[in-house]
Amino acid sequence: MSTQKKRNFKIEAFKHRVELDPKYAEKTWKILEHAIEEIYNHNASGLSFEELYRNAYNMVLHKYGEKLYSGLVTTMTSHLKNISREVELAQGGFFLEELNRKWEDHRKALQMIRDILMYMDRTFVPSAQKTPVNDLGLNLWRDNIVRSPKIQARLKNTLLELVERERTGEVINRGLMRNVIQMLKELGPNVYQEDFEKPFLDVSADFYRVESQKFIECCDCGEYMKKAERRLNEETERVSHYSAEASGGKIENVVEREMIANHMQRLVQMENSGLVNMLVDDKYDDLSRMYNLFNRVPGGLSAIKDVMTSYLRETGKQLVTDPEKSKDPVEFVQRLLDQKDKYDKIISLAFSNDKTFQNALNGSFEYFINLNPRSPEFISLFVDDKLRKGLKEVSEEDVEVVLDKVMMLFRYLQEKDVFEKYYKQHLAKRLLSGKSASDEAERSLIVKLKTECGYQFTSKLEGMFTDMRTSQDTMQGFYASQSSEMSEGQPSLVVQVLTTGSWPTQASTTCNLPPEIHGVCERFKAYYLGTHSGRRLSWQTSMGSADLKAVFGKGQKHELNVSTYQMCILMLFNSSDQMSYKEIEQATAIPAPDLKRCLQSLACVKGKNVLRKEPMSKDIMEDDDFFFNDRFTSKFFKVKIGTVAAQKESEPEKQETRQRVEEDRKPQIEAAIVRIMKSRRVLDHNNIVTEVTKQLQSRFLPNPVVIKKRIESLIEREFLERDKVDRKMYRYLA
Amino acid sequence: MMECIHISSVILAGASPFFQNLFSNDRLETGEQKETIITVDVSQKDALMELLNFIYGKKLPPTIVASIPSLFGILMVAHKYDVPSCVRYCTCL
Repeated sequence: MSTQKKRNFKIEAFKHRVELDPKYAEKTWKILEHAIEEIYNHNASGLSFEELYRNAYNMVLHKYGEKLYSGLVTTMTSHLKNISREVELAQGGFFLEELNRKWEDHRKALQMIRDILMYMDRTFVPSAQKTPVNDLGLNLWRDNIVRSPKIQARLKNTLLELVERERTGEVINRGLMRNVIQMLKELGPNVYQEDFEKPFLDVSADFYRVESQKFIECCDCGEYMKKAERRLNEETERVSHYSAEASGGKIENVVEREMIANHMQRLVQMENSGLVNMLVDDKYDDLSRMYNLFNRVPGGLSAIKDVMTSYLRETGKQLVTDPEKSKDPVEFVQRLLDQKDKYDKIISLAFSNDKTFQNALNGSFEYFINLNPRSPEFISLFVDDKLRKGLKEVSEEDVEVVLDKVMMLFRYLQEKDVFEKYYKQHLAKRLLSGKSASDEAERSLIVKLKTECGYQFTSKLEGMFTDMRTSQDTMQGFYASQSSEMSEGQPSLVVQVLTTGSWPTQASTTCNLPPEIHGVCERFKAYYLGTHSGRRLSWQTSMGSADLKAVFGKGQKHELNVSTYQMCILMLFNSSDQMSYKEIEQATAIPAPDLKRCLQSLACVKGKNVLRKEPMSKDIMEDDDFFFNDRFTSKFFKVKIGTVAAQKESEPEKQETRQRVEEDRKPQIEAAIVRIMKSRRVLDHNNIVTEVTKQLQSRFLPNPVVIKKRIESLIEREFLERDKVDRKMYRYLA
Repeated sequence: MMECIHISSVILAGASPFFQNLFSNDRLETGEQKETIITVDVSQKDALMELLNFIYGKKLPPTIVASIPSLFGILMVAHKYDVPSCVRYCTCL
């Protein structure tokens, strides 16, 4: 049609002027009225558009606009009344079809009428403030058909019935539904909302209220969620098929409210299938579904989060306070890590890495890890275990992974200074016994601690590494200077010079060294003090180790790897084959608990019993006698004799460490108080406590009572004074 | 009195909704009809011809522009057949 084809276009001159006789308007209107009738009767092909347009134009031009307009209203109204009757007559299922067909007719007719009356629409309608022809046609349709008393309710019920039938699984004519709803939409948002949307939403709410009640009685939580999800998708799909997208959000809200929000708590807490069971069984799909559905209703996620948090805290509390489970520190920490891994995975797979869930997880861990005061010690022991041996067969990246996980637990600790204390002890043991598996891993962890807690936290740990390195150089220097005096058969000595303060403090109990060793030691002391004047050396015999060459009864040779104390004991048996406990104690001057432990490991461990004890028993008594066991055999050339030493601290040791930690905290608290008061000059008690706590929380949680004591001590030493009027205020003195 | 001219329906339809409707085949006119008749009063004939020229050329000859009655006649016709570009042209001269 729109190709550039030339048409024959004729312009015909009117032979007569338009007569303005009184009947003119009436005659012209009759022509137009007839045309409108023909249009409604599907008889439009005989009509001339140009002629009808011209007639309408002339009527408007000659001030008969009002007549034309009111004539149109009357004619169209009467046509629609006829249509209304026909629609009413339609039986049952044909009602909607008939309505739709008539609607199509009306729309087509309306368009033609509008085209004919275009001139009126353009000039008369705006100036007379009338409704444009198209809108007029829609309004008349609305008032005479859709809202006619006999049709309005029937239409509503028919539509709702179709929806209901579709919900219960029947197949309905969606196209028809779509057209009728499209009609309601064209009649204006008001009609769509009142005649379809509102009743639709009300009925849906009832439907889902009943259905959700039924489901929740008979389904488990996961199943219910699946059904709710399916219903939601169905509704979204339904409104799009009905071309009722405008109601999409609203119907979803209805389903969300009826199926989820109203049953939220019951679902989460459902016995045997609720959230807790999903967490326990790692049901990622169910959890993810729950997250997505609950995310749609207000308060949904916090319902999940609250239950998860309280469950986490409960199980965490059991985990850390169960004495059975805290027997083996390594397993204890491994369990915590496993737990963390499990929940990290759930949050990343099912809860779309939701920050609030991560925070809840972290909060819970922080809560229960600190319920067990030994957590810092255990974490340090776990690291010790990993850095000692465990990591030998794993790659560097894996080491990093393990260390990163440990750091994560470390972050939860409130008493980081306690961890530091233990870590120092364990590190010292690793370094001095040469058991540290990887220097790199050790350093990597220290770097991590440093980034986490600052330079101060790790400076002493780094000092320990420096000492180790310096000692190597010192030993080389020593042997270079002694080369002339060294002779065959003399014991070789390796000394590690440790800076006091960097290393865990040891009660300096020295034992009596065998004369052979003592000589070398004295020579080293002379050498060292000669090169470093003004220093003091003392021997930490409790920390050393020795390799001994021993020949047993049938001439078999073994190398025994023992501690310094054990070496001192064994050397005694070079000169006699039998000694009593008392004699050994006198000769070596080893503290009793250590001595007992050493003897136990030398005489009571099968396969390593280089000594024989009388009477035979598991424990060492003060009146026992010891013999050189010349019948000792071992299939190994090197025999490592460990000390029976509790890895975990015993109760008194624990108390001691605790006390040391408390002692160390005092100056830190005081320093914090002074720092704060120096800048604030005057401050009341509660604020000081708050600020001190804030400043120190990266290391430990100071006890308010202790802070109060420190304040009192500072007042005594005249750093602070109490305000004379307000006794709760403190003043900085300087 | 009939006058026959050949003219592009596409150009006319583009200039006016009236012509667009007039030429729409599936409307009141019967399908294959190639002749479209427009009936006007003799007094409006020249103005209609000028309007058609305007739709093609987008301007009116100076002789017409100079004559107020001619111009008024064209404006009437342009308004009747809904050619907004011509109405604008006439009123903005």
